[in-house]
Amino acid sequence: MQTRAITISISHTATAIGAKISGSFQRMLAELGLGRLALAHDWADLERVLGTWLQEKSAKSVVLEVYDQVTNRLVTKFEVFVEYSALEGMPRFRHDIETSALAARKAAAAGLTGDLRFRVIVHNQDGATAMAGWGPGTARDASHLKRRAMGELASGPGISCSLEYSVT
Amino acid sequence: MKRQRHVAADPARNTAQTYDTIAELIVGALPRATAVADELARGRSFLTYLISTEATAEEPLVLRADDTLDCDIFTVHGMDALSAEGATSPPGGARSTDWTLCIPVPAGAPFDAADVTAASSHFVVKRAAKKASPARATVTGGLASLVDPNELRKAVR
Repeated sequence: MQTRAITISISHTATAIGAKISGSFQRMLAELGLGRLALAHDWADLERVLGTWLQEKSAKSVVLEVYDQVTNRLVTKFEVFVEYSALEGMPRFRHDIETSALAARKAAAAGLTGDLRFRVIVHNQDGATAMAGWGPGTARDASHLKRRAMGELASGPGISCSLEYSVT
Repeated sequence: MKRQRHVAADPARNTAQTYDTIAELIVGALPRATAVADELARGRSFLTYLISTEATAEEPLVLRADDTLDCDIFTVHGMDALSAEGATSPPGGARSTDWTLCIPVPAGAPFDAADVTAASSHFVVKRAAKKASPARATVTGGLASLVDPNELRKAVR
């Protein structure tokens, strides 16, 4: 019987989680009828920065804002909260992209109107590595929206993340 | 002869690196065809979506040229990606100048069959979209590392 040792690092989990967040956001945008806009977006860039910020445990949450371009008002918001833990136990990578699709369908069912556009925001701890193309920003006001938890979106050794969506 | 290639994706590679690996594999399989990488790039947004959502773990890309090259290209994710062997360009396309890449269009994708076929004359749509199963979770690791996922999927079907 052959055996093989595989070393798993936080870098591996950061890569996996970054890909799942990217894929989830694209899936959600497609469910909201914004597939064309999603196709034109540079998702590789999001994965690139998340690879760094998740690995150094800087990223606190990743937000997909959907807003009305005319009024600049936030219409719905999807937020992926990141939690870090020790690398221990049986290594396992898990994801549930369909959870994100379900969240998007629920948000759409609440009624989304306007000339919709989207923006991706990453909330980091202080001291996060500066990444080209990314700078400080201000999240749109979400005080008129109600938050709904959807549970775990993806996890791997050392990192797990859960999804919330917000609608009126 | 039908062949298969399994390309390690996340967490071994991010989506862009996985796309690049698949593109290199296809370009290497078609040494006489021109501008293969450029044609593939027309479908980059489709392929990266399929990779990041793991759609290509179950529904492969299919590379065909003449009657001599017919290869399913799967992506492998999770723990299986960390132990996957390097995928080489499939044989059979050494003399081919024309080729097609069949691209799956799963339900819920941000593109449709018309988008795929409009992007390049080399792209075809594999088949009608399959309805997505509700709230399906994918787990890799543990016992999964002891099972060939592709054989398991065939058995389930």
